[in-house]
Amino acid sequence: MNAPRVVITGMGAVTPQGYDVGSSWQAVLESRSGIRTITSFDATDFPVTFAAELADGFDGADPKTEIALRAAHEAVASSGLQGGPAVGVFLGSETTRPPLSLLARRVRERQLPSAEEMERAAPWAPTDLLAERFGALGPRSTVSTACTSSAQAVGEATLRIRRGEVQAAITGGVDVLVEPLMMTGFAILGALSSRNQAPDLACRPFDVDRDGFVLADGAALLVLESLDHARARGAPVLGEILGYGCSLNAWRITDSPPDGRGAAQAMEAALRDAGLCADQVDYINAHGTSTVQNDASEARAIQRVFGDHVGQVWVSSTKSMTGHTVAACGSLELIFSLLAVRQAAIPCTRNLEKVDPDCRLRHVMGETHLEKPRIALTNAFGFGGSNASILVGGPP
Amino acid sequence: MIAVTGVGLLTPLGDSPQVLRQALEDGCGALRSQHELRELPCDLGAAVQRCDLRPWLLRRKDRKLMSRAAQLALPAAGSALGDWPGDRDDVGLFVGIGREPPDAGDAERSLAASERDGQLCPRRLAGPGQALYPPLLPLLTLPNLVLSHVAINLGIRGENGTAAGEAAAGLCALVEALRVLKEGRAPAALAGAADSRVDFASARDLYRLGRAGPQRAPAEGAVFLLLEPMEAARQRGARIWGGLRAIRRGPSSEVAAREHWSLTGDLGAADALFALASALLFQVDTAVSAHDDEGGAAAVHCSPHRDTL
Repeated sequence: MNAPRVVITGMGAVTPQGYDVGSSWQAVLESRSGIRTITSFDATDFPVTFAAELADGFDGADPKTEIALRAAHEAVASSGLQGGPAVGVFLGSETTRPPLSLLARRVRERQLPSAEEMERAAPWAPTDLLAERFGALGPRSTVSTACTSSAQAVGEATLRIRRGEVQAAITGGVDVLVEPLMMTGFAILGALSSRNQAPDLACRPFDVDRDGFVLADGAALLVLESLDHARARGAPVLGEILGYGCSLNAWRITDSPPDGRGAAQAMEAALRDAGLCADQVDYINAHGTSTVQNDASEARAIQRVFGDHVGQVWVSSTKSMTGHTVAACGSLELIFSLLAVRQAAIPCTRNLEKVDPDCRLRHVMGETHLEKPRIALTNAFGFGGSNASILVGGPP
Repeated sequence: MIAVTGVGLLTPLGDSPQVLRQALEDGCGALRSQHELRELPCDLGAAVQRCDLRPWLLRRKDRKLMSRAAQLALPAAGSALGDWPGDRDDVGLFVGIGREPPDAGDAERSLAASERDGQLCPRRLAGPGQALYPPLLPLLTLPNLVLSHVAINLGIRGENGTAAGEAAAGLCALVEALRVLKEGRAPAALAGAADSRVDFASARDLYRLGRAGPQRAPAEGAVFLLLEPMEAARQRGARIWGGLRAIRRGPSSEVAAREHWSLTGDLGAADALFALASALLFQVDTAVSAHDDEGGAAAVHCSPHRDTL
């Protein structure tokens, strides 16, 4: 018996550019940057003073859960999905860092976080809340593989639907990273761009002058379900997950292999899973973080996989506008990839002015390219060497 | 049916299947008073006595980047993989891990230096606080890095996943590996779990969450299994420890206190896999299941090899 085809019936997003899919996508199409000087805390003396933070409206005690819920509401509402035992939740999420007020209490009063605070900070807290809020009584899991988290969560949801374990899934990722401790930790690692004088020019994937990535907040959720289930309930079928592949670099904890081997393996696995050839893919939404090593490694991987077709496949990185939402980037960029297919519009890589000779690809530069890709591929590569690739196409 | 063709473990009761089996037969216990836990309601815990990374570590300096769970995982995974003759590029790797290691006070000096008038001051955090911030802290606490260290040092590049939580985490990782093999997405897979809970901060948090007590002492350990399709294992003449298949959980299959807790303590994410490995060692036909508060739930049926051959 053939495995069920997996389709997308709902999407939701909260990004620095907008608090829904429509406004986030419009900003990307207009090449508007969500990266600006940090205002949520006084970052004046930090080595990096800018990020892609949510402007306002999420200043409660638990912004991560708030934005996950908001994105999930949009996705579920647009899909019309009802909960039940055949609905699962598969989310990419990391441990939430304690707010400064809690850390201050710890320093001042030597008081540890309460059990409740510990549970609220756990990576699986948003997963459990979404399952409860939407009555999803099927299996649930939380994937914490850094930047690959939400791509792997979507992959897991896809496989579980194909296996018949669930008929529908709420999936995607969420991360809130623009806070003092994360800015400190990543700055010490030397991973962030330090272009403090021109934040909107800072994230420039594949450009010869790139100098690091930009931290961002965001959530991106999707509703996936089997095609039969979607048709039976008259759900809007927006697109189809055609293939999923994942791999490991087995290289180093903090570096990408120069030959792009692990990343290439993930893309090849996705193509194999979909039963497609590389020349059927017209657009790649690259992981494209704007770090020197990642971009060169990913470009090499794309060259390896696409071979003679590499000159025909468009490549862009929407992180140049959204910043790096880490655990949410895989699902956010999957949404953008599907919208590119649906709306015949391929976003550009903002700030890509002079392509690094090590990153020669068919880049979308300057402005959105109006062309309908048949199939899009999106990549997510994580700290520690986890890789995931997803192929998406229009409605079957 | 999927064959188990390798078993690797590092537990308080032993670091090989043979030693563990003997210890269990003899009824040996590994629970000891732990000096580090003396301020907790109970100071009992079970720690791994010897963790030798030298046979497995490609670069000695990487040890300082490894959390305790990663250090336990690597020898166990390496032993399970053994002399697997195939290409490791496509071997799958699925790992269950415990909670992210709690902040054991590593950032305390940085936070204290960032205080002003009873509040934490971002500008001070950017100055004296940052100078005292431990640069390797993120590398020691990110949950997926257990998987990364095993992959890097054993050269594994295939399909992969990390499940986090309590006992169900290891079993969830195993079930995912079984499905990947059944679907032909990998020729073989390593599935296992590693957890360490005998440091003060981890044990303290377990007591505060109500997940440790005198009958459930915190422990540490790692258990890994090498899995292959039964037919392929037979064809290559591999030693087959037993056969596994994922099953649906029964209505009353939630895990209560496991029998081995009186000997080894609670191994956290590796606990259910420890029970499964014990069943393999004693050739017991059994089902092992687990259900965590974190949402993980899985069940596996284990058959001794005499039935599966």
